[in-house]
Amino acid sequence: MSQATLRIQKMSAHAGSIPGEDTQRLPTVAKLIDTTTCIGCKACEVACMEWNDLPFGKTVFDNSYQTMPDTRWNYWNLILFNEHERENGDMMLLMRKHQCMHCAEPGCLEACPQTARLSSTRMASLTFHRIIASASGYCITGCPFNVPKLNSVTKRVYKCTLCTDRISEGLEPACIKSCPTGCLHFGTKEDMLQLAGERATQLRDHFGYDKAGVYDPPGVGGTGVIYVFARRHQA
Amino acid sequence: VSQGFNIVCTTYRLTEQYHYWTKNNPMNVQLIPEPFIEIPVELADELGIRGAEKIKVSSARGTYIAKAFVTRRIKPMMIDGKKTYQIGLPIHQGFRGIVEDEDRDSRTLANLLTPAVVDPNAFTPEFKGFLVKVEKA
Repeated sequence: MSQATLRIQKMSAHAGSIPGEDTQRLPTVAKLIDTTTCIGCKACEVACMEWNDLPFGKTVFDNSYQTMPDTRWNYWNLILFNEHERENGDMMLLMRKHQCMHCAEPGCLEACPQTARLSSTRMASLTFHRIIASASGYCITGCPFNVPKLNSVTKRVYKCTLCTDRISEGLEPACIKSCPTGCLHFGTKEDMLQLAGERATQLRDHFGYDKAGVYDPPGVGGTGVIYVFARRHQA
Repeated sequence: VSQGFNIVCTTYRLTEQYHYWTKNNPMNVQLIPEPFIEIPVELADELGIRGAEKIKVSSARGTYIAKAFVTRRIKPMMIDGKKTYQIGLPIHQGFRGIVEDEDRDSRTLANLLTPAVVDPNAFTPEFKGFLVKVEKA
């Protein structure tokens, strides 16, 4: 991993200054997920497993196309499927890609009592540091999006890393690369917000989705994942 | 219809699987772990079937047992003034594969149910519409 492009920005339970802090100005990056063009093919789920070498787990059919009810320590990227009935009686599947939101002020990191167990890099808003051990599990309760998951055997917590090993080399995250419809985008937060805004305007003005909008929660200092929704309640 | 085969069945593929191969690939099996049969909510209510319960679909040619996927995706149709249900049957699983060998699932193939009728010129089989009956397994 190229350290030049991945500067540590925050550390858990760290009192002093951060080594290398602010020595370079790097852009904040973000994933943009356009739920209106997602077809639920789960290519991103597979790409995530393949790139991160995640072991297979058992799943059970549960009256849905969704792979499993929630993400797991070895399954970081999950498409949530919801059946939605339109006003004219037609059924449509609402699909939302669920993964770490990569908050700028991450609840998991703030909650962690162990020094430098978790760290946040400037480019990838948040990634777990190489030492992912967590005996306390505070990061799990600290997360407002219920993302980090504990492996009960190794007592380590895992979640999406925003493919820091890829983006430090100038590549997009694996899920973004695998998307066949182009509903996933990756770039600077600024560019992604602009793209999301344009798409939401297009949906409102040309496709009649007057409630279309952008989901970019402000509460956690901004997130590294933003969504475009056709309907408000989909969020 | 007189023998109780009163439901229209269609077969199709899923994006997560490829033909009959991928039931042997753990990755694809994790995405779609078990065979299922998509049935309309109305039909499920009528037969007292709940989601993920096993159901048996039989045609004049064979039977197929899999879990029910109760969905609003397939709506009942009004044909000649009669309410007609349609069910959907993904073809990918059955016979042998990872979950089949664990005895979790259907040991028969979807194409046991389908008629062996082909287009006389192109020999394309007519697997998209045939009659079945549905019962609890």
